[in-house]
Amino acid sequence: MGLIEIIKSGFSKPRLISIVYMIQLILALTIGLQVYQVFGASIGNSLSLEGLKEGNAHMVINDLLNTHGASLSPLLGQVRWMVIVYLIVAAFVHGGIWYSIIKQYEKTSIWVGGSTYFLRMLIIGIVMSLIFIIWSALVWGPYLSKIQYWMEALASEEPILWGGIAIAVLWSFGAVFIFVASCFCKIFVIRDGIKVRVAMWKGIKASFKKTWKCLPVLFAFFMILALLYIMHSLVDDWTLFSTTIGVFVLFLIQQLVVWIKIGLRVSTYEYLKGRL
Amino acid sequence: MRWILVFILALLITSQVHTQDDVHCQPTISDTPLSERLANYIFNINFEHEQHTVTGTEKIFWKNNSPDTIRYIRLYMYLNAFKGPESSYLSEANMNIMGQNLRGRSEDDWGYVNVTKARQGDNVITDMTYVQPDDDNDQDQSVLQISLAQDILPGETMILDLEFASKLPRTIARSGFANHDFNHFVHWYPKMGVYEEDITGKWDWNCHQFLRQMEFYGDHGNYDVTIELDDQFVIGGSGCRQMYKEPIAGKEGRVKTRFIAHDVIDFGWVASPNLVEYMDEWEHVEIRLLSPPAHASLTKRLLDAAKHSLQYFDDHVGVYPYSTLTMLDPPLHGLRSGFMEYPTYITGGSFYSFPKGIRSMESLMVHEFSHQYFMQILANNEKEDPWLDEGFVTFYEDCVMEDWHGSSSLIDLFGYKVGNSSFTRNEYASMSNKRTSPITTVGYEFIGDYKGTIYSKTATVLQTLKRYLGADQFDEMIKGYFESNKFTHPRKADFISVVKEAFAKYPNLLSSSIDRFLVDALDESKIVDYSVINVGSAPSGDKDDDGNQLYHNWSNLERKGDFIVPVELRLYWKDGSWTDEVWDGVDPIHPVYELSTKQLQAIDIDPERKLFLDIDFNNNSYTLAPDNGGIWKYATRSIYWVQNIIQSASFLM
Repeated sequence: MGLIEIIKSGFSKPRLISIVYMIQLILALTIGLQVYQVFGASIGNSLSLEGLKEGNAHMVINDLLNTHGASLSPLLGQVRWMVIVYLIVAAFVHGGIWYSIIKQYEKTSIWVGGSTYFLRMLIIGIVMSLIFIIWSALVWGPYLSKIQYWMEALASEEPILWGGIAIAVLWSFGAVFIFVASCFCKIFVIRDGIKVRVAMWKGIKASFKKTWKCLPVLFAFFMILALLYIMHSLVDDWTLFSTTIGVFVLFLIQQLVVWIKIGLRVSTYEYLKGRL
Repeated sequence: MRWILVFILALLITSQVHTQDDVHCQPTISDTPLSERLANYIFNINFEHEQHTVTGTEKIFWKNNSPDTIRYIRLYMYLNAFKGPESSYLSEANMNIMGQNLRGRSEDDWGYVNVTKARQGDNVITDMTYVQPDDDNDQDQSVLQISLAQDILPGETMILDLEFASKLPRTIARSGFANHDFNHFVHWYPKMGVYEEDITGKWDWNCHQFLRQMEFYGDHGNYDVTIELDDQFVIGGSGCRQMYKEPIAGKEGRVKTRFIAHDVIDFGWVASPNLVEYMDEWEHVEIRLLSPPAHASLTKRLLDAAKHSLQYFDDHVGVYPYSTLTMLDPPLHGLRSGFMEYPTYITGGSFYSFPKGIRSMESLMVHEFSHQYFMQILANNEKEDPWLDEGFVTFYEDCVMEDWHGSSSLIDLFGYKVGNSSFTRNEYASMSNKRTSPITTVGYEFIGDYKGTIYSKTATVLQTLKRYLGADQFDEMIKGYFESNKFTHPRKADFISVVKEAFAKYPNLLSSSIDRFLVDALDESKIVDYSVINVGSAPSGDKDDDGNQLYHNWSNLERKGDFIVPVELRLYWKDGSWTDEVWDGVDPIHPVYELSTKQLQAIDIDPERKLFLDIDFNNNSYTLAPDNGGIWKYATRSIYWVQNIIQSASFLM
């Protein structure tokens, strides 16, 4: 199956993508609307607002943070909690996505799959996250702990930088391997109906065998994501989007990016299902 | 073909000989002395890189320009601050300085400077004592007092011959060695203190111990420095090179380099076999950049920073009177020697493949260059009046960078833009406690956010003065300050007098209250914050003579800070027009009322943002017709980023 076909297979489930998108949007809106409220209550009648629409709002934002930072900092705490909450919600959502891909794709399949496999997805997610944390600590820990020493001992930062890049590449390979293992576990659980413990063992083994062959497609997906981010950051800076209508258009573009990213996630799952 | 190769080889050899023999340099653009040349030095020293030591002779010619007879002198021995943890400089640091743990240092890691022999004429001097004029720490050896064998009468010149030995520490701050290849010699020799009249009219030695939050102070003079060292070293420093790496007969592998610097207050130098030398020039100035090989791609950026600085200062402050400028871009392990200023020699700091959109390395180099004017030519006492150099230098760093790169001078990366002056103002405005010691506090007695106050608040005060006075008038003022005080030791009063003169010559809104402004800005820790509480407009029920509806228009303004400054007010009317008024800024609450046929829509205090010291510009204005597009932009951005964060965080779930 070519890349286009893989992408098409993911985007052939727009309803599924849209449900996931809506769940994420609702959560994000709770932060976004509070940001709007805090900004409005703090500087809502200020002529400085003009500056916010343009790219160079450093002074406006800094004065806002200096004076009203206490109103904004609780929002950061909320984002932290939201991430934790969403990790649990994601176990449900991804259970639904996998069920829709593996078993059947119907109007209610995301809810059926989510509720049926929630606990098993959660366990797999937690275990794989722990493995990921251990991997990250193993790879980055020694490097980071040596940086201060290298700063004093080395004549050039070049080896530190390239060493860091090499470690980042190694870490990324490991992350991809863990991601693929996590996906394979979920496929085994839903497709074969086996126990989580057994599925994880099989998933990790399968990942060892098949991840290398999956790398080109996964890399292509990564590049598409990177391209989306770059395009968004370029568009975000356009003065065209410094009018009220422009801001609305920019919002639509941002949401399209988010929707496409979810579609790419579904496409990735479709692809990995096909590899097993 | 062969003769072409021979020709190229010959050319290479010739050019090599030329670069190693750029003789008879002229250190300044003037044939006559630019300063009084009170403290002059001749050094003949040997540098032994394995031991990180220099040993040799120092001949001091010091002119007594006081009305007193001098019976003793005081010398800075600042390398002794790194002799051990008991020094006043290090004992304040609690064995940890700038992230470096001093515990477990070997004997070789500490430094020192010792006078091994002193002679005045034929008389050998033996009465030498370390003194502690600032604290009672008898372990501190950063100031040496020498009782002279012969008194120095007013107007006479003392000639003192010293034999001395200096050893670099493993770098703690500024001076020192890194591994065995990088050696940075600053405040490395016995250096004359300053004998001067204080503000009470009393003459005495101004020769402070080396303490934290303190830099340097010295008289202008000439330096003639001959250094013998191994031939593999690249060497650079203050002044120009009269002789470069000339072989020494009978000493294989050893060479001599001689530097001449005139009308400068200090001399610093660096030696390392692993530096590459890049040359450039700007008008009469030969620019030399010493940089590690890994930074080859950054050299143009740093040389451009030097050239833009030279041009800006030439246009806006005064002529750069020296023929050379040497810049050191230290290697990674030498970074603790970076970010400093010495006469005609500055050190920066950069990193391999540093993004072009982040211009902090250029900005730092501009900052250090600016010290050539504020600290070196205008040689204020950096220990007692650090604001007169660091504050001014920060201000000019911002000016040069914004003249060069516009309003996004510091950062322009992926749509994120930051200007230098905005960044500097925020360093002050974001201080958690702005009621720290005032700007004019003696450096070593300062309590609070030193950088935020001495550097950034001072620069913000200067920016405010410039905006009230006008750019051209400000330049004229600074040029006057520079011309009248160059090659002297200016003090606060010297600057205050030119400011008052300029504000009298060019009347503006601040002129009538400039005395109070300068006291509040420099000698107090007061805060400026003007804000608009509300704006309103309602029909009065009456009509004017032409039958037009009259409106009650009102606004209440608030002075939230205790720093009083007159400000302009701009009243925006619903029909698109505006009118300007002035508020003396005194009353805590200032009501504005106008009965008019027009409806008031918005009011803006200090609409041109001249009062850069105001800590919050957002509350300076209030409009009844806000455009919330900007808020929506940030709200939608936060929605977008929260969506991205939760998507990424859940990739394994």
